[in-house]
Formats: sequence, structure tokens, C-alpha cells
Amino acid sequence: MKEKALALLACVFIALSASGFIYAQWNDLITISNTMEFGHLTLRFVEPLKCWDNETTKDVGKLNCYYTDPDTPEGYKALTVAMDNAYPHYEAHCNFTLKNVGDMTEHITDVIITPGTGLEVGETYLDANGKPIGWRLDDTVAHQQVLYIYLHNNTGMSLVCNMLWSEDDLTTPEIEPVTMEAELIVQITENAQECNIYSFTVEMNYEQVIP
Amino acid sequence: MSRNPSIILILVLALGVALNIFRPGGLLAYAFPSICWSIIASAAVWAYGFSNMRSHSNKRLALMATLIAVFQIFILIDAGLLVGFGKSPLSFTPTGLTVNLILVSSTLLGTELSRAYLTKKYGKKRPVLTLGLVTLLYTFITTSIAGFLNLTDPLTTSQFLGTGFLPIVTENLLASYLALLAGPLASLAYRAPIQAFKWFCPILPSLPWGYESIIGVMIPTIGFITISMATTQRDLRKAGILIEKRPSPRLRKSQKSIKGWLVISVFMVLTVWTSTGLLGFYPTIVASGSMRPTMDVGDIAIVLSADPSKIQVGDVIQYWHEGEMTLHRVIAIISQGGARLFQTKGDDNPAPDPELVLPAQIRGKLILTIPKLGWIQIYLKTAIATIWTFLSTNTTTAYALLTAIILTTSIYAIHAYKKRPYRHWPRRRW
Repeated sequence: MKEKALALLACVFIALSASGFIYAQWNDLITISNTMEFGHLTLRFVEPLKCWDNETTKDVGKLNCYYTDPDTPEGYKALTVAMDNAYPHYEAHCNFTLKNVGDMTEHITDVIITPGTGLEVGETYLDANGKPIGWRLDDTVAHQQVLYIYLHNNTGMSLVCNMLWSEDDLTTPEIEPVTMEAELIVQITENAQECNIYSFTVEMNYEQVIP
Repeated sequence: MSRNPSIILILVLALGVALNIFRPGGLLAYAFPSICWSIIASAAVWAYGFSNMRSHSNKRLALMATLIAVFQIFILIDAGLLVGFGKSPLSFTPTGLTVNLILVSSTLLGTELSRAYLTKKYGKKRPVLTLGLVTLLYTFITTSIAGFLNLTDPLTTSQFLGTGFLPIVTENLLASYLALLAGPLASLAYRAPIQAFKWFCPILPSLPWGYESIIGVMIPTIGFITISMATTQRDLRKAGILIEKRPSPRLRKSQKSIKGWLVISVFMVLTVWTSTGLLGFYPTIVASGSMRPTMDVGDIAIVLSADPSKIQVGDVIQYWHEGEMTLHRVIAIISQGGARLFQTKGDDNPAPDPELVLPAQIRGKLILTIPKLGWIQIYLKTAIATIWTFLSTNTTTAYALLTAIILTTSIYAIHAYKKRPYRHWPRRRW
């Protein structure tokens, strides 16, 4: 009986291993899409989230900002910004908060902007340190610039490679706190179409930092 | 020289509490647990004794444990080939590798040496009880108490149980079982390869949490059953566990319970898969009356993933709205800039929803409604939410309560059984 169990285990082991390699050969391409999740290293969007636009006398454009993809133990993986009926010179502001909810030091290595329907990333702008701070989104049909996104932390620099420390460092003044506030500004260009909805999603890649 | 195992037990419990309460930043985040686990490893070696450790080890079972670990790693890689890989977020600089190596090795040594010592000391008399308690002890040490306190809705609860809790329970159960039968060598032989893979492989399978959950629960379960079947009476005697020559009713019961445990674990994983949409449909409990009479509060709506381009007027769709899921009927489809936008309305609402729904917001469309069944969960959720709210707002009380529960149950149960007169146990039983 024991020998049978061991033989069965060995057979399952070989079959599953072989299936993976056969699939890899057949597929001919193994993609490494992004930075994966790791339990002790977690960066999340958390409250407070505050959004407003530059309309003072009229109420034409509608701005909707919300966190999506909720995840344990707290917070969200993504921030979605949607503007309905936005027009040239319409400007949207979104103040959001990032939190290191793991127990290791980490920094942001990349900001991923995923354009909504009808938009594509046209160009990425860098700050003085060569880190991404802005994006131009173009119309997928006319290939004209439709909106600009600017994203920076409370020092005005890129979010990428700015240190975030674990929670208890809030008590240590010389170390940056667990949460980081950042601002996102969206400007609509002359090419924006009337009665249209423009949306995009913001996500962060991050990695461990050994102090 | 006989040493009191309570010292190690208290050290491990104290570390569990300290790791959950004191979470330092910077280099201390690595140094603090490394030092604590090294102290526990040293104390366990001192208490255990090298000669005892060697005599307790069983190379055959340790080899099997390594095979199970390799099997689990291959399954993870296979799943990665099907689903995709991601770059590990861990540091792979020489300093990063050294710091992580110290952290992982000290944690593994501290955990497995103390686990083996505790199971050896307490497991001879009541092995099954010891196995359960040691599994719980190491599960709670490696699980964030804060994680439990932040469980506010069914999805986060399922995700936490699936990725953060159940796989840890089953991994600890197998490790404790191996430690009981074959000493620290076997439990290290199982856990070290998996930890090494996770911490030192630059490319890792990027699996949805449902896959992670099923692999994390099923492989240790298969390993547990395989080890159970491969364990001989000689192995049990070598481990110091005396058994009756003929299977007693209790033994048959324990064999049944293993099968039952397997069925329950499969059922639980399938429940988690189903409830969170891994099988393509999402059961959702209706929380408002906006869709009366189609659906009422407490009904369960079964939503099937749907291509937004195939959604028609009249369909009831589920979509993200301001961070929450909403179930409303499509009353018009508007084309704007080549995109299909959906005008929605609750059947019982007087006016349409003010905002149009983007295709990216849509999760799926309603295919079935099960009346009233969701009330069970609403009542349970309300009760649990009340407790969670109390604990979340009184963190000190929560920590004190959880610590007290863990301490009291562990120490009381172990000591109560230890001090029980032998005459109540005619024979030592497995």
C-alpha cells in the first residue's frame, strides 16, 4: 500500500512536471508580465482620497475618482479616474494616499497608467532625476493628444524610488512615515471630444529595499 | 538532565506576541526577528540536546518531506507556466541576499527546532492533541493579528483565509506532523526548499490568489496523507510514540477523520473559489431593495462574467461604482467615441442612475436569483462585524484578548492533559 502511494505520488509528480514543460515548449514564450505580489511587501492605496476639478462657476464636466481591486489586509491595488463630458482646459485634481502595509522597507519602482477605452499612452515625461512624472494619453483613432497626467508626491518629485517605511517609523521623526500622500493632475487638451468619457487606472510596482 | 519544555513554549509565545506588536522599521525589521528566532533556535538545541536530535531524526521520512516540497515547487512552476510569471519584488543585491538569507534561515531554524522539541516533549502522550495545538501555535505566530482585525467584508475574509491563513495552517500541520514523526530534519526538509524558492528565486509564478490557495492547501494535504500512509510502526516507535498492535476503534476513527479532513478541505477551497468568482460566476448577496421586485434584500444573485459588447438592454449587470459592486438593469446603451456606455437603473428606483457605466466597470450579468438564502450571511456578517468593530476600535483589548486566548488554551490544555492520571489512559494511543 505504501509503495503504491509513493508510486502514485511519483507518477503525479512526473506527469505534472512534464505537462508544464510540454506546455512551455508548445507555447514557446514565457512572459514575465509584472512584479508579483509578496506577502511581507505590500503597498496599497488607502483613504483619504480627495478629488476636485477647476469648475468654479459652471458644472459641466463630471469627475469620478475611486479605488478599485480591494485587497487584504487593507487598502486597494488601483486608482481609477474617470471624467465625463470634460472639455478643453478642464483640469481634475486627485489627492490620494499610499501605505506600506507590509513589514519590510520598500520603494516604488514603476507607475503603471492603463488608459481606458479609446485612449493609449502617447508619451511619458521624466523629472530631473529621470523618473516618470507625467504621461500623455492619445486618442486611439485620431492619434491626437487628448489629456496629460501629472503625478507627484508631496515634495513635487516622482513617486518612483521614494522610500516608504514600515508603520512604527511614524514615531521616528528622521525617517519618512508609512504613508505617502501624492497628487494627480489631469489636463484636457483642445482635441478632447464633447460628451465623451475619458478614464484611466493607476497602479504601482514596488520592491524591497535593504536600508 | 531533564529540562522543562515550558521554557521553550513561553519563549515561542512571547516571540509571537512581540512580532505582532513590535514592528520596527529599517534594518531592525530584519534584525529583530532574526535575533529572536536565533535565541529560540539556540534554546531549543540546548533543551533538545544534539544526541537526542540525531536519534529522533528519520532520514527516510526527511527524504519524503523533501520530495513533497519539490513536488509543491514544481506545481507552483507549472501553474506559473499556465498563468504567468512575475518579477520577485525582493532585493537581489549582495546585501539584500545576505540580509534575507539571515532572516529566512534564522526563522526556519528557530521555528523547526522549537516545533520539533515541543512535539517531541508533549507528543508522546497525546500526539493528536499536540499536533493540533502546535499547528495552531505556529500558525498564529506567522499570521498577522492585524490581518484578522481588518476583515470587514466576505471578499477580503475569503482572500485572507485563502492566501494568508488556510495555506499557513496546512503547511504548519504537515511540518508539525513531520517534526513529531521524524524530528527537525524532516520539517526543515519540507519547509526549507519552499522558503528558498520563494525568497531567492528572481522570477516567481504570479498566481491569482485562488490558485495560490488551492496549491497551498492541497499539496500539504496530499503530503500529510502520503506521510501517514508511508509511516511504519517502526517509525512511530523510533519517534517514541507507542501504538497498539491491532487497530483500535480510535485508530479507525482517526483514519476516517483524515479522509473527512481531506473532503472538508476540498469543499472549503471550492467554496472559496466559487464565492470569489474563480470559476467564472460570482454569488452576490443583495444588500438593498433598489431592484425590487426582481431581487429583494437577502437574495443571492448569481452573476456570470460577460463580455460588455454582448450586453443588451434589459440585462441586469453588476459593475464597480465608487469602490463597491452595484446590480442594476441596463435601460439604454449609448455609443460615445467608439465605446459602448451603459445607462442603468434600479427597477424600484424612480430615476436612472446619474452616471453612465463604462465597459471596464462591468463584472458580469445576472443569470439566477436564489431567494432569501443570503440572510444567513447577513446575520452572521452583522454579528461578526459588531465583534470586529469592537476589536478594531480597541486594539489594545484585541491584542490582550487574543494573546490571553492563545496563552490560556495552549498552556491549560497541554498541562491539563499532562497532569491527568495515567489510570485514565489504559494504553497510550495514537
